[in-house]
Amino acid sequence: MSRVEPVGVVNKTEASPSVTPPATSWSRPRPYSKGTVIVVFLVVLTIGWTYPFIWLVSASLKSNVEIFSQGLALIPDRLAFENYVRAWRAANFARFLLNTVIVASVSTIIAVTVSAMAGYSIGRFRVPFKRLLVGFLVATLFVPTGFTIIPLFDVAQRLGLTGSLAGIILAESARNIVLFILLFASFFSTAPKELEEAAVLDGASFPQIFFRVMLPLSKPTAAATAILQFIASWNSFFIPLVFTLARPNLRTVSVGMTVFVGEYSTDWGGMAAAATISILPLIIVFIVFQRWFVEGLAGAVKG
Amino acid sequence: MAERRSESGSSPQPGRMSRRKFLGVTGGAGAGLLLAACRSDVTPEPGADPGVDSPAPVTEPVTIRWIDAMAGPRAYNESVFAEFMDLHPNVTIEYTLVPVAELAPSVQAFLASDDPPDVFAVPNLEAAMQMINQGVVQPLDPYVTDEWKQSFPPATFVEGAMMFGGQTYSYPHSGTRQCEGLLWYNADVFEQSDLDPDRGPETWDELREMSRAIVQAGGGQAFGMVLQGGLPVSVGHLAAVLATSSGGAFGPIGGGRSTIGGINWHTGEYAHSSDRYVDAVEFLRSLDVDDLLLPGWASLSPQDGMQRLAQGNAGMFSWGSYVVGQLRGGDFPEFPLRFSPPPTADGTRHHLNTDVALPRLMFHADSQHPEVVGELIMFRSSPEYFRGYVQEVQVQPSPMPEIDQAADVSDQFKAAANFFNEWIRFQPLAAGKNPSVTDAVLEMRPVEPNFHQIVTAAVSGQITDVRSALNELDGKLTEERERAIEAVQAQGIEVSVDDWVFPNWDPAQDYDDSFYAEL
Amino acid sequence: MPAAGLPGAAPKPDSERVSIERGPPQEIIKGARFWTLLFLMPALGLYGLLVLYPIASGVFGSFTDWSGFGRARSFIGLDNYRLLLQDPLFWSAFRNSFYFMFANVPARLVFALFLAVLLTSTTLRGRTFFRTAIFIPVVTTTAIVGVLMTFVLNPFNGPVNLALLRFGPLERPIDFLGNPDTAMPTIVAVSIWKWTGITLIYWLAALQSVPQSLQEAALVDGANKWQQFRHVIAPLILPFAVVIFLISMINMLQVFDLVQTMTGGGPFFTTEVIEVFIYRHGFTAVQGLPRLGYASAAAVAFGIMVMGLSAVYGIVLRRTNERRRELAS
Repeated sequence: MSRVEPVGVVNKTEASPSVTPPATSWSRPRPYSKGTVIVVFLVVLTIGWTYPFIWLVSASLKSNVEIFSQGLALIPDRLAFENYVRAWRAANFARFLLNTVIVASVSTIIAVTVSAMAGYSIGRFRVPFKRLLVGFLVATLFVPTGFTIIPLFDVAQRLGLTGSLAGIILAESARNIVLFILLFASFFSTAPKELEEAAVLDGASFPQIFFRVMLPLSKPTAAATAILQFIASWNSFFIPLVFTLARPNLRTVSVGMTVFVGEYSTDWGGMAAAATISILPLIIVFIVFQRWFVEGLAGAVKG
Repeated sequence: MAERRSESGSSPQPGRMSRRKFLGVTGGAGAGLLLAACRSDVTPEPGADPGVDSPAPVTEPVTIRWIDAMAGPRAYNESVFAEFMDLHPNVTIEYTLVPVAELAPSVQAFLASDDPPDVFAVPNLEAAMQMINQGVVQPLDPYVTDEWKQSFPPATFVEGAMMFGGQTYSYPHSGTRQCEGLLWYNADVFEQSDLDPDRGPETWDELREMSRAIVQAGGGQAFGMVLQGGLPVSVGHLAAVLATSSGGAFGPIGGGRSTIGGINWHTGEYAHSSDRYVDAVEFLRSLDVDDLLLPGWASLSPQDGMQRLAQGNAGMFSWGSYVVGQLRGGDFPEFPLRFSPPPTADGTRHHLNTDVALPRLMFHADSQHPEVVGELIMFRSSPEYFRGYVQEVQVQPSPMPEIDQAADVSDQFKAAANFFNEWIRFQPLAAGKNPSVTDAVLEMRPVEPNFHQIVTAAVSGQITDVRSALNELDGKLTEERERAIEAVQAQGIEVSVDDWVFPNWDPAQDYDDSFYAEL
Repeated sequence: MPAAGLPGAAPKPDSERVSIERGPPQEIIKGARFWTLLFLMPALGLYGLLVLYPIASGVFGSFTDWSGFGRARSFIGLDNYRLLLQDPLFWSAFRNSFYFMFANVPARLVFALFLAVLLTSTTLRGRTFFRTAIFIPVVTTTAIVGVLMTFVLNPFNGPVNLALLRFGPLERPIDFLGNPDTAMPTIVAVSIWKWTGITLIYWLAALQSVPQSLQEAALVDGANKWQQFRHVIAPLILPFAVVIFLISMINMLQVFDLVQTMTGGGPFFTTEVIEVFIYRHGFTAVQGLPRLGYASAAAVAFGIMVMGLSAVYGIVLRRTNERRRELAS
């Protein structure tokens, strides 16, 4: 059991002896290793943390009647798989899911690339009216944006983008772009300039330097912005709602979910099933990519 | 800051789009009027069974876009549209339902779009008035027949509501005489609590006693009543209906809008703080204090409340006639639902007063195929349509009482419909006396917190002095109305507070043309 | 414009400032001037058309009376702003937004950091499992979270209340979302639950950037875990902390979906944050016409006030830093 000390573990019982004597009874006998305490803590936390999600999955297998009549019980009396059938059919879910995946992925690629390019320019080069530009960017960062939906729709329409997913994708890409530009600018402004000097000696052009040297270097910022953007556009409701009013085929999952809410009643079971379906792909993506996320975020320093 | 301002000043103004659209509008409407003019000259069709042989048959493909926010009768409406498309193979109807909560932003977006819908739902009377004022919608008259209009009961098309400047802009999508605040109870729960399952409470005290019996027999699993505090409008309606049924109050029952309702028509004054309202709120508050209401009512939606009634966790529940239709379509356990008229303070029942039929579905001025839309509107509001609507959906009564009477519907739905007919009367409409009132109403800004918000907060105990809160509301409304009147008068429009006064108003009678004529 | 340098100034004032002013690399790269502008274009296009123009249009709209239903907007000057500043519910929304932000962000950052430290332990088994579990609420659609919570927190037969009644000290169920005293804290708690996962990921990344050798060296030198954290890890992750704080702060000031689906701003406005206020005025027609002009004025006024506060904060921060540097030298 006496392995190498776990690195980076903060433990109150460890820190306390140097400050105050361990007077509390629970810390005196220590039959368990610290690792076990941590695991127990994490297991308890995880159970509480995921309880609402487990409740959701359980509700997705219950009839609407049972959702209301049961309290703590998580196991349905009878597995109501028809909720899933209904969710899949009634809500045209395959289509909505595909739309959502497209919107979230493409807007992430656009937002990250575009803001990285701009951030590189702003953070590293002399740009005319830079102060004014940054001033505008910062100013718009603080304004709540909920009220801009109608002009936003108007612009997208005049650009002829509302007939396809392009409108939603671009509107979503632009949503966090200011924050992303500033993050990239801040990152690039601190990178050592020897990098470019070396690349220039190798005969690299400006775009080559950016895409081959600087962009890979910015992996931490890129990963952070990508996660933020992907989740934001996956969850986004108001923009896709307004953009797809006249085009039900373009709806995303979060908008499609409204099918279950009627004026006089709500199909909770169908909604829970639809929600479960929409969460699962993201959980899989997370499990597969979480290492990449984390290491990507920290990649530069480590590599 | 200087940069910001100059930027916004030089930005393209949104007005540009309106101008461009306006050109389209006048063109389209002009052509439509021409067509209509020809049509009504040549063929005054008997409109009882429209659509069977359409005049001047259109052969090119036509797409009609129809936007509504009602989810209840969805399947029925879809089948009716399908029927119309069978009769007119060149017509395609795109029927879109938007979530009720998102109706306003949806209409905003639709109206901003290059391709607006032909027919769409408006959220309220003010919205309709503004759209009419600004030419967003067009009158139905050139595209519908007189016979169709006459198929609705008298006092359906009233100036200031469905009609403006003598033109018809909308038509009833459901019964006009209806209200929320009805009492629904679960007879099983009554029986288990040793109460007569065939009889609901007639007075407020009886409601309290019955609730107490249910709580005592319920062992923590059943409560007297469930309110839906998550939707303050519902609690506000209930208080208003309880007060008005007991007499001496003047209810914002129909639309529940704080700028229009709550007026004592004898004096024209806002009367939310009248004793009866305060009594009704204090009565509901006492139910909460005595733990007779289902815990958590303050954040419940009506849908949740209905489930609680169906599950037997609450003996009584208050909402509109929709409860019946919903129980048929929704996923609820079987239970004996019973209707009971709203209880009164002392057992003497008074009439409820609601607005005359108000616009809901409107006809966009840019519609490319107005004559097809006219046919479709007549088809989708014929007596046959409403008979099917009432029978299949049982959500709301139809605009034609004789249809409700003859329809094959459940006893409980019929009971509610009968109650509406017997006890609901139309109140006066200030714009019916002086059409310029419309301008003043549009000028008025909402006063917050409004009646429903105050009532809900008072019933949950968050507002302790409901009388002074309602007094303050009346004061602010009066002030705002005066400001609006002055602002409108400054534009040379003749409006005065007297336009809201109707000395000959009788709450027990429909305020119809004969009353207006007497003024 | 003091606010301009803020996000740049806040993260790493010293190094950044120096590197910008110390001759950027444009002299050495061919055609840098051209490429710089070209690289800016896509972002500026998106920003100008889909961020700045809609906001500018909203700023213009804030001087008008417009419902979004009519074709015409009437220009009413500063009326919306005058009414807004007199509207107690605007100020209440303003307070609620800041209350929400300050209750959420520090607590969430500290809690997520604590979890991150636990979850970087190389000996801990099932790290992926725990990380995924913590991350699940992040990927759950916000609207669904709202609905879910109304069930889970329901005072009648809701599992949380049942558990508290059965195993805890509670005698009466708590109406978490319907009681004005508990509604806001409940929303804050749910929002922490919802978004801790994303902060956790950032902290995990930040901790990864701390070289193992440094940590071990500290332990060899006889530092305890807390000292190691305080003197080795904390300084290295501080730049991350500033960025995470900034992102979280802005996001939380603009919270909407979660509040709207859980309480809609109620009971009686106790949880009405600024975006809910804006939505209620601009996009609902419960009490007459929507007032997009008024809603726009609220957004603009709120934005200006936040900018003002940030500018003041930025100035104070810079002064303190300068003072500290003076004292140090």
